[in-house]
Amino acid sequence: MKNSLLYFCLLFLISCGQTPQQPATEAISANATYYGEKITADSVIQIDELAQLMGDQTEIAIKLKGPVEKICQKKGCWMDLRKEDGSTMRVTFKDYGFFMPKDGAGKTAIVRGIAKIEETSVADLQEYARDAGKSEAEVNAITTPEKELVFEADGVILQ
Amino acid sequence: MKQMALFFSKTALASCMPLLLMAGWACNTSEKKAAKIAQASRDSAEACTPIKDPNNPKPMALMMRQMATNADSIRAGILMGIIPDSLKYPFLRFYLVEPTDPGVLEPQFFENARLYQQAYRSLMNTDKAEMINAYNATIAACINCHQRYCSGPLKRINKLPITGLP
Repeated sequence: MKNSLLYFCLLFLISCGQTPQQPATEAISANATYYGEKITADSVIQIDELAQLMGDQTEIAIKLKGPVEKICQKKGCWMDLRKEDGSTMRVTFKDYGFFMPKDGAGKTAIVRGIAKIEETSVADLQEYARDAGKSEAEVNAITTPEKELVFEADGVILQ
Repeated sequence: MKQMALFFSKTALASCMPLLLMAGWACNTSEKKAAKIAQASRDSAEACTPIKDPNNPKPMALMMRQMATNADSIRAGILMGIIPDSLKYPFLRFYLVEPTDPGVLEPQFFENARLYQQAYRSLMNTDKAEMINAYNATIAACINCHQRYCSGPLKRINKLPITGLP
């Protein structure tokens, strides 16, 4: 009896110590819009849990949810999702096949696709800076490629 | 005997009537239900149809998307041994229409457009032996220009060249 009580307490403590990583099914509002492939809102992971899930992997197929910080103001061809620490992750769209509304910043996105760590070239970084409306001086200040965590989505729900 | 048969048939009809009525009602209900489901799925499909581009794209962007679609189709044809036909794929004068970014309309852009047009003409006048090279040269012209002016579509264009064939 004493032992089983001890085991119970131990199990309880272990379960409390674990970080919640269970994929959730998100509620979709009636005015949500869908882009790219039609995706569902089940098995969604919060963007802040991505790093922990990736571990040492350089690529992972996943469905994420996060707030939209910024959207490409030229064509809507990429968007930044904000993490809790204030940093962002850029999301591009598979095969340049669909686009986000340019006024979509501030909404919440559910994105399905591949998160990967890859090197972004200087030319691409400069192009992203131009798309974000940065000055030519700021664009020219980008001179080194950057290894970063990016996401290529094949479907997006925006709400 | 005849009376007996009539009696039995009347009795059978009377006893079956509620069943027939129920079956009719059930059919009617299931039809209505099916219609309702069909309508609901039509409504939800309309409400949830994925959007390709919500930003009123400029004519040059639209034209280039058409060019990419044509390139997919030309590529598939070439892989089946079909020489591309300029009647089916006329040259689209993309450099004459409004671009997303007016800043691209500089001499280098028009020079790139000229080189692309030249490669495209060669592709449309190619013979079977040279069609893969001519096609790849056309795609190379696209890549060359997009490396300078708008790198986003490169993800798609880089999948277009025909490689790895004997």
